[in-house]
Amino acid sequence: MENLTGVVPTLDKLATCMLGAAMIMVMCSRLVTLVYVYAFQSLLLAITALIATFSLNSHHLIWMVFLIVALKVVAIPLVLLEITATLTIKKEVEPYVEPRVSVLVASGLVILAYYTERYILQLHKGEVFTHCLATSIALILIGFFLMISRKKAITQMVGLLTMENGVFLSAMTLTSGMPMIVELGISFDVLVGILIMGVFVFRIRETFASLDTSKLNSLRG
Amino acid sequence: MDNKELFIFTNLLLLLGALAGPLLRRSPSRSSYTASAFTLLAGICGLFLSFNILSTGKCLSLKFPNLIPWISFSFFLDGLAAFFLLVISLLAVVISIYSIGYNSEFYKRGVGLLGLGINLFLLSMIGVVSADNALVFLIFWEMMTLFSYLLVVYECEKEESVKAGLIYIIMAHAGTAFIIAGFLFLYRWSGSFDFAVFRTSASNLSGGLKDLLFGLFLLGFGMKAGIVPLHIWLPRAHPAAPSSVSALMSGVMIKVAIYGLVRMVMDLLGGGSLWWGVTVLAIASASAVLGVLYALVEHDLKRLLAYHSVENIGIILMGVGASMVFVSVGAHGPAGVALVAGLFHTLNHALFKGLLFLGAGSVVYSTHIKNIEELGGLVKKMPWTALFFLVGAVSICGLPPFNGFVSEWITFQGLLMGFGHLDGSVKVFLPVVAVVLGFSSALAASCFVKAFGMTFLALPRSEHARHAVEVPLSMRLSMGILAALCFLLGVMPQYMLSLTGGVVSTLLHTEVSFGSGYGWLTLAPLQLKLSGFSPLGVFLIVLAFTGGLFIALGIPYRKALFGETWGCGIPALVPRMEYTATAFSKPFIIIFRDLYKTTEDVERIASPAPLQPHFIRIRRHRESAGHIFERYLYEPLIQAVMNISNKVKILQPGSIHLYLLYIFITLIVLLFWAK
Repeated sequence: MENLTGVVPTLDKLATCMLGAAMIMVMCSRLVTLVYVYAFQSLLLAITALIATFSLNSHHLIWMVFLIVALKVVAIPLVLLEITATLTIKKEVEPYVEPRVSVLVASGLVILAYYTERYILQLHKGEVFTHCLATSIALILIGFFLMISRKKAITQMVGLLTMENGVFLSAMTLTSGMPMIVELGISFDVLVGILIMGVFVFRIRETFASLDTSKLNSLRG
Repeated sequence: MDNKELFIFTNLLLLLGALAGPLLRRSPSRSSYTASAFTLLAGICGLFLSFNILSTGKCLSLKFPNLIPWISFSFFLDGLAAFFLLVISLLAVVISIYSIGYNSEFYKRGVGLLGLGINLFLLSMIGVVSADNALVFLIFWEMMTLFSYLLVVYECEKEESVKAGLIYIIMAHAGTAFIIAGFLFLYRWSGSFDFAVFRTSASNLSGGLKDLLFGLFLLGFGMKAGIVPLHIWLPRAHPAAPSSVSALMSGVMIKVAIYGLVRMVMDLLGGGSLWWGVTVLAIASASAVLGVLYALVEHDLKRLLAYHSVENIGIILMGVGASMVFVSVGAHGPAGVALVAGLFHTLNHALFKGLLFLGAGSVVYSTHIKNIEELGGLVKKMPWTALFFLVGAVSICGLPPFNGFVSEWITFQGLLMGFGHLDGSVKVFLPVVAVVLGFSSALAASCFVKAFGMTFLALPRSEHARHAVEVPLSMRLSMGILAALCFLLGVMPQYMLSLTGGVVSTLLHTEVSFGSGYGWLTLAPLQLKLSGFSPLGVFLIVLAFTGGLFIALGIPYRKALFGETWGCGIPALVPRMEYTATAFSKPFIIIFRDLYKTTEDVERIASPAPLQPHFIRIRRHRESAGHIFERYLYEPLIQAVMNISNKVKILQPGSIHLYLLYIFITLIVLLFWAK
């Protein structure tokens, strides 16, 4: 991994930017902004993967770069924007936890991520990008937090996608790229997951005339 | 074709049969015939395979190591497995012939599914008996449960079937949980899931752990076998399925549980302390007596037969339990005899219970009535079915010259041998069990007097019974095969007994023989001079005696006079004058009222005003037999579970966010805990 030393600071900066994007997602109050920020975060992920492709000499990652750009930067955000435009009347994110408190919680999660990363590293033998790993764990946790603390189904989809970005980043930093087939599998999983959730969103809207998932508890028998 | 190919062929044919059912569903008759044909071929292959193994004693070992990572798909057919394969294949052959005619009942409702279910059910049972690895065993065991569940709820528009299926699948899974626990304990101590490793490491286990394992396996397999008090699913689920499936479930599936018990406890754990055998014997006695007592008050023909399965599982377990007692004290000779009795009764019960269920299925096929109070007079409309049902009934009562007698006789021998080989209170206990066996056989006889008499004799009690017609040839043929086998094993059991003896000899490492000077004529367990008997001789003597009496009384030369039955001066005989099943079982209800917990309900409707209240116009008397286990064991249990569930329900308010929060909190706690 000698040839890595040059790129590590760059990768670290990119990862930090992704984390920043996640923080903006926690703060922002408009659905459309949320989707744009997600697209931007995915673009950063694509650039990270591109740099990793050349520095790690794992050339199969180049396909992943194309896939990320095609799916996460273009296709999925478009679908989400479409849903937002057609289905919601109020374009605001409806939070359970208000944005300011959310930022505090997210900061706590970042600290937790750095804290746990130390223990993960003890299990791992080879060299890794330590900073990137902590960031990716933080991304997963923040994505999860987004899913919990926001009412609308769209925010839950974005939360899940953020988690997926985190998973991808950690996979790349820990294993310098998983086998092609696994990566492909995960990407298509996410795509299919989003399609299914999209269908669900329409059904929820039909049934409750709203995208507020907190109303789903009336389904309970 | 060698054994390995036969084994693969058997399974492939069953798979093909399973596929053929749904693929050809557009034409119900073609679908049914094709599925049955494949089952038939598979059954014949299975028969060849099991006879090959049983007669040569060569075991078959098959391994598919890399099919699924971590699980080595290994199969091993030794004598014991081959014996149960024989039982399964025999019933498979018969059921496939029976289905040709019987399935026309279900042409309107997708007969393809029935073919699929039966073939896969058979496949999974073959998988269970041939598995040589705990995980493979469990996979097939669960498949067996699931496919039999699907067959139980086959007529899913009947609420009764769905309810029966629910109870069945809950209890079956509870049983499987015990078995899984047992296997996990064994894995913990041996480090492998292979049965061979279990066998070698079992001798190093501590006594307490072995006792625990025995308890788990007894509960787990006992649940499936339908021992008292875990039997309550059996009389519900078996009658709910189509009759060919009931025959398979009662005839074969509960025997697979016996296989599991014998394999785990006697083979892998190598027998154990004395109390294991005593426990099994006590449970067996309870099952035998209570099974037949509940059968006595049951008037649904198929449910009555299902209760008799509980009884017969008790009889089989008497043999197995006595064998465990003898093994624990080192008396291997009697242990062999008792185990042969248990295994032979397994085969015999499969034959006559299969026959009886097919007979009941034929009755339902042509009358669509299951309640024997509404049947009657069928002996004239369906003479062949009546004859075969009678053969089955005589066999199940343990009367010569049929097979039930032979195996119950050997069971008696095994139990009574205890007197010479045991000390202390067990010395008395085994003969007491023998008394229980005699008692339950007597009750079984009276129950089948009722079942046969009410169903087939006297006048038809309903319109449907009056218009019954004999069933198609294929159904008669399949019942005929079973009836012939019941008779054959009743007069010439020697060959089959020598095969069974071979199985037990290798299992218990002892020599078991039933031969003496005239091996083909007599039976003499352990060649003891004090107990020998000749089934063929008894039959010939009885035949000669009745024949002689017939001729001596000159019956063949007399001219028969046909006239009406004398009705005590009342001009026309009507079915309402007949003795009823309720009346028949009333004395038993009175004698055993503490066990039945009967509730009586007398309703009086008085006559109009002036005669009131001294003249009662209508008196209705309703009586129902309660089931003590359901009232005192299952109802409190269900109540407790419901109470706990209601409390736990608070955790589940239906909010997605809360559920996600649960996961999130768990994740964070685990992250902290990971250090």
